[in-house]
Amino acid sequence: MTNEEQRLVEAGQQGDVEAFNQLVKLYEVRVYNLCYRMLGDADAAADVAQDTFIAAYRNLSRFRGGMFRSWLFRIATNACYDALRARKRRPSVSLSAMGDADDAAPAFDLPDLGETPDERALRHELSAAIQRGIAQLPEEQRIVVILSDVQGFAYEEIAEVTSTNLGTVKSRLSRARARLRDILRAGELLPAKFRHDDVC
Amino acid sequence: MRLQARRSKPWEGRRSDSALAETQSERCATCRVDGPAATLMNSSQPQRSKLPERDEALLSAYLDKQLSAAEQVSLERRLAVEPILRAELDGLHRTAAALRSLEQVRPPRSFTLDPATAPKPRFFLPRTWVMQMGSGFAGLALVLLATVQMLGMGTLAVGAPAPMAAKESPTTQATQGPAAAPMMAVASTAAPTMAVASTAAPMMGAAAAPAAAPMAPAAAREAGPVAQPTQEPTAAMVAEATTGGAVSVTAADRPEAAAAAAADGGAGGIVTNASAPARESAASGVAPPSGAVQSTDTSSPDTVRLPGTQAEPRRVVGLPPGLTLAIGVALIGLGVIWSLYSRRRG
Repeated sequence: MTNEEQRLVEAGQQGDVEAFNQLVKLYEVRVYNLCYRMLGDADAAADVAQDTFIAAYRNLSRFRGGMFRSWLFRIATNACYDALRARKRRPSVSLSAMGDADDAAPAFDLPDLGETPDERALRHELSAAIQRGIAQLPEEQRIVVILSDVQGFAYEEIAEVTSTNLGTVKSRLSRARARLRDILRAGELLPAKFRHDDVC
Repeated sequence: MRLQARRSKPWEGRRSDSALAETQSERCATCRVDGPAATLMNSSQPQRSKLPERDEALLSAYLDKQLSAAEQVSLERRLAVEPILRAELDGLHRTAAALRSLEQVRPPRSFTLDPATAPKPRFFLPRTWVMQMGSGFAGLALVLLATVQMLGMGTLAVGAPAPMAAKESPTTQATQGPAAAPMMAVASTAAPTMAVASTAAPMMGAAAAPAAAPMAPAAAREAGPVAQPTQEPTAAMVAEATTGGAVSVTAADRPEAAAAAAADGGAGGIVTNASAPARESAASGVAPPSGAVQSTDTSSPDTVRLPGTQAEPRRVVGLPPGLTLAIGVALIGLGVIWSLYSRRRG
């Protein structure tokens, strides 16, 4: 944790909302992305991310040093688990999902300004296919593969976020990657254009 | 078996897969996309991994450079000679690369908190502190409470009058007899103890009878109508023999005590559960029929309950001291265990 982050955390612990908002700005994209990859729903991810920051602010006095990012992501992870459990208990269909698909789709960053509309559409289609593959993983494998391969966390930090040990992280990550590889190889989730059995 | 069969001819599947890939690439050259996801999708690998889970774990850790030097050398040696292993590593590498290539999703709104409506932060006592110190203090308090309870009981035992002391020292009872006897006859609820006292001290019967006499009529009046027919012969004899009350004396072994008491106390009839000769000798002394004594305790022939008294054991209010002590020690132990656990976790 940097000195600036440390200072913001301490100010937040004293009840300084503005200081805490600096931390929110620092992490909101990553937290939202974690929630989005875990839940697969943009609206639910936004709600859970908001809940995460509110919970983090309310419980900031419980933070006793260490990495603030790990602590924050642990809250986000638990919030995602709660949302998934609630979804299992009360299955519902998002109103936005029933409407136009383009409206429900999340807004992606545009990495290449020279990208053509076709290439962009293709990239989004691929991204959605991978997301569908991620959604097929068990929750405990999903969180590990997201933290490791999407967010770029080290094994130790993943263990801290998921409250497990290194061995568990390694085995879950290995299973998740192998399973995802098999899912993507099967090609059923991929756009028709990329399937092996597609006849051009 | 299935795995072995597959491993025995690894080239068969690979040849057909690569042939298929070549055909596919010829047909779909325009459809191919670049990037890790595309290469994964265009992969000609079989759809299910043939490797055992341990090898999958090794490959995954190898991708992240998490293997030790020895493990890495060993795996690289195997990779050089096992094409299946190499193909699986390639597939894993592409999968991880595809995941890393996922672009960030832009949040639909900012999640900053509004200072006007932000919730108040909570202030907690650290859980570790509560678990260690809290349980420790609670345990100490319980241990102290148990100590106080035990000390209190000890004081009671020391200060107790005749009934309890009689068990210990007949001689002492004999000397304290006149004063202590009324309490025994009326106030004491420990009938068995009293019976023991009577049998233990022949002298006490004689000393106690006169003193008990004044109290006895009142007790007998209270219980007069409640004579139990369960012991008819005894009750009848008792009704005839006694005059104003009773002091229980077990005269089976010491008839002289009962006789002495009967002779001494005109109003203080003595009821015995003794054998017939002894009872008769006691009854033949004085027999003004002014009261009745009942013997309701059929389980203990040596005991006669006084009317109006309850032969229940002394009630202890709250937890027994032993249990309190055990809970206290358990709480202290819990605090110590939690302290060790949190120290181990760092």
